[in-house]
Amino acid sequence: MDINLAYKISITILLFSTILSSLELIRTPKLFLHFLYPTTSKKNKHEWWLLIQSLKVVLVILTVISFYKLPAPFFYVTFITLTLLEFYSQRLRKIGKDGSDQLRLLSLLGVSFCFILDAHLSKLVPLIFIGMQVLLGYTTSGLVKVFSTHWRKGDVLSGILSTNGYGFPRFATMLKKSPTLEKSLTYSAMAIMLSVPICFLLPYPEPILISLFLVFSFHFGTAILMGLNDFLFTFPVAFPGIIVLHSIIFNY
Amino acid sequence: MNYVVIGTLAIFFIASVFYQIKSLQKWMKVFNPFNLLPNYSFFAPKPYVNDYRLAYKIVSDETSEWVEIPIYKKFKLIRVIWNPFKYYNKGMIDTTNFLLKEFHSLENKNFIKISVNYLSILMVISAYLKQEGLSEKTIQFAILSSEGGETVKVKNVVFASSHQTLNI
Repeated sequence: MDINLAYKISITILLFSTILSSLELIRTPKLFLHFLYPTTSKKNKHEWWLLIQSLKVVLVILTVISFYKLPAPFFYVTFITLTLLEFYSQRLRKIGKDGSDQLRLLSLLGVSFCFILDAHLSKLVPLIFIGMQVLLGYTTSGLVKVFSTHWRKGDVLSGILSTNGYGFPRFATMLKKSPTLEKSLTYSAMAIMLSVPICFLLPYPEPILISLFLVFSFHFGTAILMGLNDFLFTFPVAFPGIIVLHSIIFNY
Repeated sequence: MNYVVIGTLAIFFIASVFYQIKSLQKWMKVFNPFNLLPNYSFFAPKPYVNDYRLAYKIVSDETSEWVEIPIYKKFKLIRVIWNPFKYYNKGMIDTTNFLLKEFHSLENKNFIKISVNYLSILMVISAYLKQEGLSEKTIQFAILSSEGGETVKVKNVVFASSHQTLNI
């Protein structure tokens, strides 16, 4: 895969993920979410929160324009400012964060940090860094589930999906009635996650592409069933990097 | 400069690998002041299979019963692309978990009233009462753990506050 194209895809997904999460965070105080900024100090009040998130939205738009239309220094400035604002926003928000918030911040920091590298390396290194982080992510997530007695029993999905917080209760009721389907879905979730690091070790491009497609489908499924839409729009940031790294290692 | 940047990212990656081992996480927190090291165990080893529900009771009104604050939303397909509720849900889980951790570690349980997490929950109740058009109240609140979404079954009370006066 061409590094410039991979970089373009990664940055575009990352910016989309950032604008979506910022817009969603603008909306959350309407849900009484005062505990997103759990201090009583002046700077953490509602208006300040809205200002920070709105600024992020504006900065994403400016970064998109500078990335596609303007010389590189403009992109560097807007992107670094966006990174600092996301960092500040996440420091402000002590709770209610998830894995995709972590990956988004790591990706923004990784890309910004690499601006000081040579032109070629400033694209290649962050792609590899983000790709390796997500490979580690799928490996850990898959292995922890495989070693978990709860997951190995094969009946956790109906439990998770029966909650109002992370679930789809009607689907959970259906799963409870069909233990074989539940078991196969539970095991396939673990298998799909582990398929990424396993296929990464194979010296052919097809298996890793198929496993990335499967894991994207898995994220799509969890976005519908569990409402985890931010994983769907954040984890693919790493896919171009995984493909580039694989092609470098196996020389194709 | 290239070596410095690549070396730093390589060290960070190695640290990320070690950070996935639970027994090392506590020890490595010293090197993780900005919480940048990721934890990728998502919903494992023990997944969330319960919801936390927030209920309050107006103590000054003898006829008052426990009222649940409606936190949860009905399933809608739009959540594939638009779901601000997930932050709220995770916020509720984190707040409750931190509150319980603080409560269990306190010798004098009355000090829980100055906990940020306790105050956050009071602010949620206060905002809800304000929306419902209720003025100054003395309330008691409780956090319940429940099972099921279609037929909700309360499992247990995980936290119950003492009487608390709110200026709304």
